[in-house]
Amino acid sequence: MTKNLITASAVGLLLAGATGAGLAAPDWSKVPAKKTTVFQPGVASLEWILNGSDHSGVRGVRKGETCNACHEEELADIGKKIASGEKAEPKPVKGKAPSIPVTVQATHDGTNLYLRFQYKAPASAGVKQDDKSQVKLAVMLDAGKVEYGTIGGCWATCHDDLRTMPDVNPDSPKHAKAKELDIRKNGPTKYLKETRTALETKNKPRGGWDKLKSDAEIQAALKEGKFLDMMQFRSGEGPREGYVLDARRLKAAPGLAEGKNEGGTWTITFTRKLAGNDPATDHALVPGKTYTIGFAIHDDWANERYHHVSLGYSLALDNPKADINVVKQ
Amino acid sequence: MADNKDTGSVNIVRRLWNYFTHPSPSYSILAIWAVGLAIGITFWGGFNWAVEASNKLEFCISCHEMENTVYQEWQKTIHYSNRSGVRAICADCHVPKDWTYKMIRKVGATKELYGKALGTIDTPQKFEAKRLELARNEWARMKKTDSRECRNCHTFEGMGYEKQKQRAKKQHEFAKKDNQTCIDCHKGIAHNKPKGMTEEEEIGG
Repeated sequence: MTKNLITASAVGLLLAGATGAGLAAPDWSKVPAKKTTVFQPGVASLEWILNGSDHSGVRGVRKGETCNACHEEELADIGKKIASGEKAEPKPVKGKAPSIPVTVQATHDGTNLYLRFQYKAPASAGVKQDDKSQVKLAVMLDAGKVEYGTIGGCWATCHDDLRTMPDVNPDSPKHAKAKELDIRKNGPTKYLKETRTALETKNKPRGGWDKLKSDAEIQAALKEGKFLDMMQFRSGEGPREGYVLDARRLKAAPGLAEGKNEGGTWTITFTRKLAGNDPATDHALVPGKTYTIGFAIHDDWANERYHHVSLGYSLALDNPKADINVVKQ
Repeated sequence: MADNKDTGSVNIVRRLWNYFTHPSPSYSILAIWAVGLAIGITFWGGFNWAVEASNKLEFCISCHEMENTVYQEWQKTIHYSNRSGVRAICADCHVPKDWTYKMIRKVGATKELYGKALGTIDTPQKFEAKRLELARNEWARMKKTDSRECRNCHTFEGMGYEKQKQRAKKQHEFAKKDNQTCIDCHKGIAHNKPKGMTEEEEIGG
């Protein structure tokens, strides 16, 4: 607890210097808690969701229904099906938790957003995919302008041709923009449909990693707010923040997030300005507007698609109707 | 001589005609009516018995084409085993209950005898090769009748939506609004789904 206060104070002093405002640690006991479940998504990408042969619920998606409207009450069951390899996971990791219950809280003080995640770490599968961080927690925010942002949260960024996904192109690292698009030796990172001229959802290979729109079109999308604002906590490295548009673009963000494991329960807290730490690539959170938040946990040294993900939830400042109500204190 | 022969034949026909069209001098009208009724009941009853016998599960799986494939698959579904013990057998889903439609279906099913004689699906490989075509025939029949046989037991009006899983509840709301019928979405509910279904067949588009 003492350590927590010291760290929070340090973050507060850092941000106070940047914003000119005082920063006190939030009283989390006064903040409503949203209990939900994150689950293994397997290879169920955006293309999987939009393909009726994989996902009969595409009828609902076409009608603009959110994933929550059908699946909120069966997240743990979905996780079991995928983790067992029964559905959408050709290479299950034996012993990996199918799903993890998570508590989410959000508050603000008029200047900063404080976002807290807590979960009890499940039993380890004994597989170390990431040798640096035992836990990573990523958050993505949509301001309502990304086509599948409100419906699917993080799914708007997930495709069949990303690294470790079924249709990743082995030649993708040779792409002319490989470095710029964060295409490493094993393939591309997340991207939005808005940045591609086409997205194949029926025939293999599915996706559209190499069907890039022009730089001018991509920059225009960024200016119009058609991107997902992203923050990431990494237990073994510093936090990072940035956005997902034509690729996942992150940079170091000292003081953005902190996390600790106490008695097997992880508590991870993000602190950022409501207006955004970088207004060009962060969504400003303003009263009266509703956003979509999605998050993912790479628990137990997991990497790439072997994470646990949330569905998309509505988030708003001082709005009890939102799934996650960011209350002022 | 030829004339006598012809006259003899005409007489036999005339006598037969008279035998069937005139009251018998030997039997009363009541006796004739009673015998006729008994014969009628026997034939009608026998016919219906035969029709109903062909609706029995044992009859359906008396052919190995059915027993080795769809019968085995059905035993793994909720229409075979469920909490309340209600079981839907082959005829419940594949044969109309209404007499007229039942007869039409039975006449149509005689084509299966032809297939049996030719051995069209007499091996698992042949069955799999034809599964999509056979399933499409049945889906089309069900679609045409607004899933009449499903609706013998299931109705939108009778559904307790609050007792359904969230996903089922939502899908039924969509189906009702879009005038969909049961078979649009519930293909493969009692047997394996065929390979090669189109996306629209999967979602009932």
